[in-house]
Amino acid sequence: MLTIYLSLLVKGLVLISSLILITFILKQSTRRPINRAMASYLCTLVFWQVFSLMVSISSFLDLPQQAIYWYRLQVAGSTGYFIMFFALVTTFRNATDRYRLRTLGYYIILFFAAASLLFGQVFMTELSRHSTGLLVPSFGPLIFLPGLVSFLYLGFSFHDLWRDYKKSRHTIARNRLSFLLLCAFLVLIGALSNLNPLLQGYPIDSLFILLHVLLLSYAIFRHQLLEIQVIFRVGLVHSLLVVFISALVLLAVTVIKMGMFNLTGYAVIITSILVLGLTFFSFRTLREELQKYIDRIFLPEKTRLYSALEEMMENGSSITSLESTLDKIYLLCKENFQVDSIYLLVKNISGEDYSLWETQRQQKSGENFRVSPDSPLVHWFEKKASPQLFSELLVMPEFKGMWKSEIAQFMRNQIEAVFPLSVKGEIIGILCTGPRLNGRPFTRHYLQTIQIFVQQAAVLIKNAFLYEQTRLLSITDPLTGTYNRRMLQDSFLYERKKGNNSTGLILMDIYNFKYFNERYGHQAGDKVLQDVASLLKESIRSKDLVIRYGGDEFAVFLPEADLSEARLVAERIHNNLAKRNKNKCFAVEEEVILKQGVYSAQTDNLDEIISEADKRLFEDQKKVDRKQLLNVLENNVREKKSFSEQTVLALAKAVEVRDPYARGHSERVKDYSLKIGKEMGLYGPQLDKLSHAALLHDIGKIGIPAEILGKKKPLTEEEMRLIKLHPVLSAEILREVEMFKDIADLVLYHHERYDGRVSSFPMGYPHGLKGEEIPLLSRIIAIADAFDAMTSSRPYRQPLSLSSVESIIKQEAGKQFDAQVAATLLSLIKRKDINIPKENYLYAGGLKS
Amino acid sequence: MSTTARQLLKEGRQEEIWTYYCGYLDLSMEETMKIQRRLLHEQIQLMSGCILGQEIFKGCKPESAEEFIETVPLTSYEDYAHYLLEKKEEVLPEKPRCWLRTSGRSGEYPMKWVPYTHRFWEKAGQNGFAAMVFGSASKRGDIILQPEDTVLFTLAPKPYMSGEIMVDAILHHFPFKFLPSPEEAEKMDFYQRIEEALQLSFSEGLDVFYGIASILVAIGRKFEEGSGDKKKYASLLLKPKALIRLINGIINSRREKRALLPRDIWQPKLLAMGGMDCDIFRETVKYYWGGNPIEGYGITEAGILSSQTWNRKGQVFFPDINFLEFMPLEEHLKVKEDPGYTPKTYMMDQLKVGEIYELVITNFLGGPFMRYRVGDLVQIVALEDSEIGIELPHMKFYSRADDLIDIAGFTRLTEYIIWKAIQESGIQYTDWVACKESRKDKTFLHIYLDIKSSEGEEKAVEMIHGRLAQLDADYADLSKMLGIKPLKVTFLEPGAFQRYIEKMMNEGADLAHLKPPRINPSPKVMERLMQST
Repeated sequence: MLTIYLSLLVKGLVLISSLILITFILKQSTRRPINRAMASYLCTLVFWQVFSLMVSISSFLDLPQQAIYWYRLQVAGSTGYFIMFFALVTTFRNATDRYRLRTLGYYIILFFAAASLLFGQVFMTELSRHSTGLLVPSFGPLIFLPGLVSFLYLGFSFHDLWRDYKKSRHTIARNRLSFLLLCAFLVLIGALSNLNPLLQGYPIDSLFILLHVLLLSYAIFRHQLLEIQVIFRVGLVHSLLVVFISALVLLAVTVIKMGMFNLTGYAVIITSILVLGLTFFSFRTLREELQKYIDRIFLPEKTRLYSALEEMMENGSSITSLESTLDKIYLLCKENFQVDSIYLLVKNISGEDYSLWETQRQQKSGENFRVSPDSPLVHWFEKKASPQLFSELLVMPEFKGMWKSEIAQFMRNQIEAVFPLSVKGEIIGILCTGPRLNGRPFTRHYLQTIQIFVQQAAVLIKNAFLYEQTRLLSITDPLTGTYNRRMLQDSFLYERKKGNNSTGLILMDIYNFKYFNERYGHQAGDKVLQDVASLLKESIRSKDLVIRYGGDEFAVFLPEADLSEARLVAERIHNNLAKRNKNKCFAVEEEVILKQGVYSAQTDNLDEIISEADKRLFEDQKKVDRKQLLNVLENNVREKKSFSEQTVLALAKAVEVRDPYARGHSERVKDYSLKIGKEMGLYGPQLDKLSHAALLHDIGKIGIPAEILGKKKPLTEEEMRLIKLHPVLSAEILREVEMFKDIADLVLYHHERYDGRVSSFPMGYPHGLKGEEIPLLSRIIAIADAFDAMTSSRPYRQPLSLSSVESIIKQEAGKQFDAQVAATLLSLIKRKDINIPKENYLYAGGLKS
Repeated sequence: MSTTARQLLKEGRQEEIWTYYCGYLDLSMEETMKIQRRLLHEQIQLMSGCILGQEIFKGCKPESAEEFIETVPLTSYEDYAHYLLEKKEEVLPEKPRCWLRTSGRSGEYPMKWVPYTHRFWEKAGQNGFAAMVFGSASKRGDIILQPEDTVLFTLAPKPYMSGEIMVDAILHHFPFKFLPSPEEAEKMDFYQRIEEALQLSFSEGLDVFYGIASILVAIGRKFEEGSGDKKKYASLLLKPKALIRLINGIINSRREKRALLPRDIWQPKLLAMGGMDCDIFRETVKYYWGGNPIEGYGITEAGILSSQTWNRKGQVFFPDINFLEFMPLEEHLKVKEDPGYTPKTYMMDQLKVGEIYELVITNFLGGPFMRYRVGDLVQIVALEDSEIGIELPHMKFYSRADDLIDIAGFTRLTEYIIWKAIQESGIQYTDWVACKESRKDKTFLHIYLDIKSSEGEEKAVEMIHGRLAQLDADYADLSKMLGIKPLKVTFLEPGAFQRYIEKMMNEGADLAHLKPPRINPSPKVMERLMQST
């Protein structure tokens, strides 16, 4: 009788749980095909169990006629159940190729229902009482028919599910398939139990059905997120715990029962509390230990990853550079993740994008795998810092903005899973992996396990990143992002240590940079420096370094480069610069010109290389100065046909910016000259010539190094020689321009002495002409030039007072200066018709009378 | 190759179908604009590398959406015609997968060719399928469409957009069963196709319909009037499935004591329609077919642009097929008056509720059109839908830009308003056209109506006038305040439109030019129509 009660209980439970499940499914949606299929399947199950329940009740009430009737209906019920399971699988799989078989199944159910009612004896003949008290039937001649159909449909279900399971690369889909496979398996075992006469009286099939209904409910309510493997693992751990604790309690009871301890009264209570307490406190430890053992069996990769993690954390403190940190982490990932390929994309120090770092780039034969910081992937990780399968991400609406080329690089590299390297919400890198080596898809659990590893790696990388940033700050110029001089020194020593022989150096100076700063402001000047730096970076070889050597000076350090290789790089810089100038890529209107000094040598002395490169730079500077000035002049002539006053002034100013002490000098000399000229009765074209010549009289200084022009100490002989070249240079330059040809001589002679003496101080130069040999306009410019020089400060002295100037002019009249011109100037001074700008004195520290 | 529902089904990822196709509705405006800007950036890169792009960009390469709007001029088909009409693939940003044919407005071009890249074709299909999912869903995440669901094939075949996108591209995404099959349908003319489709749907069922609402209405009327071919019904007796369906339908109709209607025989999961007639015939379709049709909006040059969602409110734009700009109506009118004027346009996150805008699109995914004026006006009806939690603007199609009938500068009547007024007046008509005409300094709306019978002609004018006044407040003000009745109705001889169509067919006209345009047809078209009476 107990078996009958048990049977009633189990079947009742199956019915109740099935009905709850049906209600839940239908409440979700009645329009969704999968819901309808699931509900139909469960309804068939309900019918079957109702018939089965009726059999038990009939047995219990001893009504054999009714029992045989329900038994026969059960044939249709059970067959229908297997067919409906197949229908559920078909709908679940959306398998259109199985639709016909499904429809055939519906007809078969109808057929068996009719056959059971009309010709039931062909399936079940007579009843006999089983030892359990239940009435059990003898099978008729055609009972194999529903059995065959049921097993055929169950076979189809198994086959389809298993095939899909093997093909599927998607975790959730595989998980769902596993649940259905497990359900099919449970039902099969239950059904097989009915074939064994010994088990016929027991509700084995109903028990298995109950189990599968509970499993389905669990899968549905938990939204199919837990993996079967996890359920097994957790279940096993808890079962073993229960077994262990039960054994412990049993042992304790046995020991007590055997009279080994004679406990009475409070001792029993205290002992119980002690045992319970011990069990309670040891439960967690026990569970963890058990979990470890179980994990070793079920998840060997998890155990491996955790020990790799420990190893990584131990090594963490010894990591000294970003490069070595990345190398070590990459190696650990490669050894432990058991995946086909790994791509570690790390955010650049500049923050431009996420890309492979050097070592890996080499390993992946130059694969240019990079992710932009505005990529949907980065935004996704910023929102949800959890690992993902790439195929899942592509389905997300946030990823609609991904470019074809971006998707292609993930596809090309067969990326299956992506992991964020996130530290305090900042994504510092992305780890991408290819398929697993064992061919299985990534499970959610495995993704999470790897993520724990990746998370720790992210912290280490971040630390190394900060270290690298600090190191870079000490060797980097903050404005241009290039290296500083310290890096030049370090790199040279490093290359020598490595034993590299030839070391090349290109020293560069931005032509007329001061002028950019003055005309466009320092912001524009800084922009020019940044643009030049980026130009240099894109022109060099990968192993070269760009160094900001001084204010407007750059250097390119070229390891393992002989002179011809260094020249190639220099040429590339030159060509790229030309392109940028052509496209007007700089923040200034004028062309940006780089003077270059290229040198390479096999030496241990860096100073030697620098000094030689510097010499060459100086040579180039002279060439550039001259060429550039000519270009400017010619361009102006070509484009404007005539020079305006402003253009000439601008040219003169270009000279002045090289010499801070000559600020406004040309213009003042022009003013003084014009006043003298007018006073002397000059007019029209003569005054124009005088004006232009006075303005451009020092234009040749553009070829004199700025250091000499601004030198505070007395000039050396060589420096003086260079200074004296400037009238010649000025004249040469002006002769090259058609419209200035006729003032070239005026400029050439503006330093000649009227008395023609070359031994007196100051000497007349360059030709030692005298008296009327020197053009009148040159004589006027000469005295105006001297007057301004005396009334302005110089690097080596302050401005002279007016009285001193007057006396010098008087003294030098007829000697250094034309007497008539000197007299004219003195009368102008006397009449106060010549104004000396106050700033000339202020600049020198105070007005002197 | 992008993801498709077919692939997701195959991989057992059914639940992701909604996310993939319809998940964009959960995006915020900011996220949507991110997608718009990003894909525009990609498109600029592609365009700047091809001859067509360089021609349109005129040497500049915009770096941002704002710069793009500022520097790239607005375009029309004329700017592309020299390349596209000759199908010059080498000038395009990406190799096209297919060339689609469109006619545009009668007389503009005999035909227009539009290249579709594989990606654009796939995306158009994706958006088309998304609209179908919305149409069949009753709530968020509800997918009831199944493989092998039957679709009534009533659309124009390839190389028109309907055949290429709504059949081929949709099939690429989802395994529907078309009745008849696309291969067979292409061999049939329009009427044959509908007949055959209906016959087959008796046996195979009818799960999905998309196309023109008037077809559904016509089928419904045939059923209601009992004018179906009895012989054809008789042939159904030999087909068990069809017979069961028919008997079921007859029982349903008898139970409600009325004529047999399509809804008694079929319970379609989805009725989807494009164009103006969807709204006009919505109630009639509901009555005949039992389902509430969903409305979508697409044009050949831009693919499927927008769709209503499951609650059938305004249409929401798809964010990933075109960069969308909106030119306010005032700006549209200014540029109409002075073609040299540079109108302002706004992006999707700058729209105002109630405003009417002309739509300007830029193809993504390698399509050729840049800042292209599609010539349609849309009205923004809401900036969000809090009922179902959508934060994106909702729009409704307002009118073709050329189809506004401006009466005395007082009111602008659209095709929709005129059609609705005629429909609601209760007149039994076959078709109509409307023109703006002037006589003795007076401007008025002239409707040419092809009526089924001449009964109640006199009352008809009053009825239409009354309905117009109800539907358009400005029109009502015209007669109330100014005492003007700016309406004239000319009744054409019954069958005038049919004769016009036959005449055009005999002359081998393009499918889209068979019928006269409804609003302001050219004098030549009007002459032909009048000759047909």
